[in-house]
Amino acid sequence: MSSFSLPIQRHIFNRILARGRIALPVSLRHNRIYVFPSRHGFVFFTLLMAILFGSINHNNNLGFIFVFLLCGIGLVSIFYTYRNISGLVLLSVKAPPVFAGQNAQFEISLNASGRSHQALSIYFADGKPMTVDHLPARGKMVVSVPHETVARGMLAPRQLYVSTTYPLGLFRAWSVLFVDASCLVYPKPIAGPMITARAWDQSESAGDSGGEGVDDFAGLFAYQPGDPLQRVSWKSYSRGQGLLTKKFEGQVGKTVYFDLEAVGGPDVEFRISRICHMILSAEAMHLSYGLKLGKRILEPGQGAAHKRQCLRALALVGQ
Amino acid sequence: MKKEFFVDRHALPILSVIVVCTLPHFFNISMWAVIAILHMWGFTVAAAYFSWRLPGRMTRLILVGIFFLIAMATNEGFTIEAFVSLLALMICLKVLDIRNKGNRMTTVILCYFLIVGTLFFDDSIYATTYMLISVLFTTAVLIHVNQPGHRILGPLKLSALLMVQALPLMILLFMLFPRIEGGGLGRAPIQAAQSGFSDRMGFGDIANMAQNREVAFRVEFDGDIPQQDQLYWRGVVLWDFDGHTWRRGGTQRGPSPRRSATSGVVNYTLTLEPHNEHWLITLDLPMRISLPRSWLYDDFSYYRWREITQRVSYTGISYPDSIDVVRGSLGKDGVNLPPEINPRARALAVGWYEQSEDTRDYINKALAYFREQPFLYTLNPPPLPAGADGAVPGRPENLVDVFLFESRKGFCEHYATAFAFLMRAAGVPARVVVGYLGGVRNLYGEYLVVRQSQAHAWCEVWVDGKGWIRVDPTAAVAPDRLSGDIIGSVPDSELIGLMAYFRGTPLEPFVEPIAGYLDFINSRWNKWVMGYSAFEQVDLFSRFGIDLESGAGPLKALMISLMILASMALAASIILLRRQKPSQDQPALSWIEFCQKLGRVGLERNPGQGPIDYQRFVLRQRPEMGRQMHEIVDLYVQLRYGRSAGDKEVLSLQRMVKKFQPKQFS
Repeated sequence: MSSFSLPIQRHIFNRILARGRIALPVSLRHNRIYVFPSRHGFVFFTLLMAILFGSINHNNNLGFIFVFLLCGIGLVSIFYTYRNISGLVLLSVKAPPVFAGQNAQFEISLNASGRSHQALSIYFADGKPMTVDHLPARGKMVVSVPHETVARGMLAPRQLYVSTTYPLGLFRAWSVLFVDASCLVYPKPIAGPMITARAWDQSESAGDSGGEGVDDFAGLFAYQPGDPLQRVSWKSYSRGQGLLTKKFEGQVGKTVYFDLEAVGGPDVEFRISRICHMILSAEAMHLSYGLKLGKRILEPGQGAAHKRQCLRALALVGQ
Repeated sequence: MKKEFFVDRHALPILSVIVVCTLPHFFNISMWAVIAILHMWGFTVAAAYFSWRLPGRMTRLILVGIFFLIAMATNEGFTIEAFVSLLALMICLKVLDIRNKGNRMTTVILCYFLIVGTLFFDDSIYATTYMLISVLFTTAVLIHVNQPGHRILGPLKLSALLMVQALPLMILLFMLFPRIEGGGLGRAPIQAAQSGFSDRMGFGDIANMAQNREVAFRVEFDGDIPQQDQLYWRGVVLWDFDGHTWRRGGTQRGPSPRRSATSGVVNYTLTLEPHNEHWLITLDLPMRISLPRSWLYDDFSYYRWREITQRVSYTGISYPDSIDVVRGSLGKDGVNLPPEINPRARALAVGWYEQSEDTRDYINKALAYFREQPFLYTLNPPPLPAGADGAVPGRPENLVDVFLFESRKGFCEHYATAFAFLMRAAGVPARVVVGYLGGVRNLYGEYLVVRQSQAHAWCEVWVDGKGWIRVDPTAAVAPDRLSGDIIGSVPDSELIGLMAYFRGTPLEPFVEPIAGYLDFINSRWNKWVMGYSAFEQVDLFSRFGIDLESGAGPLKALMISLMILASMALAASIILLRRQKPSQDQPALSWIEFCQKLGRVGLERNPGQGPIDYQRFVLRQRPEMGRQMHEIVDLYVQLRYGRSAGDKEVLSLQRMVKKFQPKQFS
């Protein structure tokens, strides 16, 4: 659907760009809605022109009636198409963080106007459209619209399209919104050995032995992204118990330190990705871990909140 | 495959709309095309049911070729029938590939084209009704393609609504769209329209039409309807006879027509169905008709500049009592005969002529012969020659001899031919006129319906000092024919129109008024809607003081038309897009916006907090926002939980929230 864009559409889009990002909630009204014939609309009206010329040629009054009736139906459908997105309210947008390369899911909550809306298509430019089949009058709904991510950092989404061709498919009414929303994109984890740095806090110096202990088996824990594959208990997996990771006694409760500068690699992005993977591994192994990113230091800690804080810091390095 | 087709919720609606749009064409296109279409439908349904593999691209390409050949070869080349059958066949192929929305849309839009195809064949009110129903269905399926879910009743309702709302525009455009008299380039030939006679006549040609119940034309008279034996409808005048066939010969011949001065003018409006020939029908003898670009020839036949391929309507003025008084300039016309044929008829003619006092007497002698000899008027005359007793073997040109002396069974063209031959054989100029005789009065409207079965041929004989007087030899054989009662005059004939199916059954008295009423409605439809043309448009605009035929007229008309259309568009916008009262949710939306603004400065609302709790929570941390907070929260609480408030309060809340800009706590 998005593949069909006309110069005029781009022109209008540029106008929107110039307006800057808009804060939600936003109600789709006449100042944001554009209507233009769809590809099939052009086919339809070309066909009508042909029939019209045929009718003129044959002076066939029934032909005239047919052409004018269909023309009327087509034109009246403009109003229906317009009405189908007019009054729709985008309440809020939020997107949980994702790792680079994964699709960010922008959760857009919609609020119907006083009338119901059918067959809405919501997508980011060049993204996969999500369809809202039916939104009853005054109804609410949350749609997850995917947006591709390439690099880590704060993702400001491309323009969001809300479009519809209901009821006849001959006209498309759409609204382009540059929503003021963002999604935190963590670096893409790259697997490898855990490289720990010397503790910057001199009082503790236990971390330099590395994390790859072969201590006593502590138990199976639910797999989390970033767990080393060699630790995955494939036996349990084949028994249908899902993905589980083996954990060893020696690692639990230990403290490790990661330093961006201590990790080898071709460039800084690669090293960030490696650290990302290490954080996930450490968290999975219930280690306590601290992080040093240049001058910025995150004291050792553990748990979901700490992990999020570390990943966030990592995602925003240099930004 | 099974799953794909069955799961595809669009397959059934699309297939049924194709059936609806194709069915009326079954009467027009060739049998082979119909068989091919039925096979394709059968295959589609069977393929879905038994989950056969659908044909691939190559097979489909081959099928396109085969279908093209079927369409072109069995519908006589590049005719409308051929195009329609090709289109119907291509849609059958298209339906096999409706897995994406684009193809579905194209298929349904092509169905509209199929509907248009039917309009070329029939524009009666029945065809129009069927067209409207097909449009309703096709539009409903188009909606179905564009909407989620299986519902079909909803799309049908919406489709009907769209059609009703499109109606005003349709009517306006119909009246205002500029019409061109006579249309453009003309049309491709349609086989179906070839009923009626041509400007040649052989033995049996008119008898063949006697079974044809199609309407030839309808007439409305300004005054009383003339007597049945006055209703000679003049079509073509035939001059050349070669022994088998009468032909018109050249077109214009000699001076302009002149008639004897008479009284008894008849004014009428005639609506002629298309017959793909040039001639027009007038009441004998015509004075003038209102159709532009048509000419009165010197033998009082009217011709149009091009074939009549669609219904035309015109008013005519005729003098039934008058006589054509111009002999014609080409001396031998009217007495020419191929030499040596029909020797017995010649001998008979010469014998009578010698005994006759004058031409009148001679004519009566010939008529008496028809009356007194055992001639039979029949719809099914035996083919000539049959057991030609007196005819020379191997010389079938002596058809008149065979008829006059052997078979003696014939329809009007036999009598007219034989009579004209007898006249010419004696040197008396005679010509044959082909047209219609009589007409059936409709019970509901004061008009006559004349059908192809009422086609007739008669003679005109030149009498010196009088002119071309009409002689109808058929009347001598079957006097009933003149009274318009073809049933009475022809044994075992068929009744006219719908009535035929019910003749003799107890239903007959009930069907007759219904059949008449349907024809009445149809004739009104033809007159007021299908007959609307450039002429009526000029008339319509002149009522509003615009003369379309003056220089500035068309421009004025265009401006006014555009103004009417623009105001219609405006009215439509107002009606269809009328703003709802500010949504009841507007206060809720303002509230959400308000909370989000506070959330951004670190004062997020706990989902469990009501407005008052939230206000208390915010003010504990940010007492300086008290005034604004109170204003907004109080108004919101009043709107949400209090007495219903007016739109003004809703808007004021909206404005206050818009202006509210909490600062980051420092």
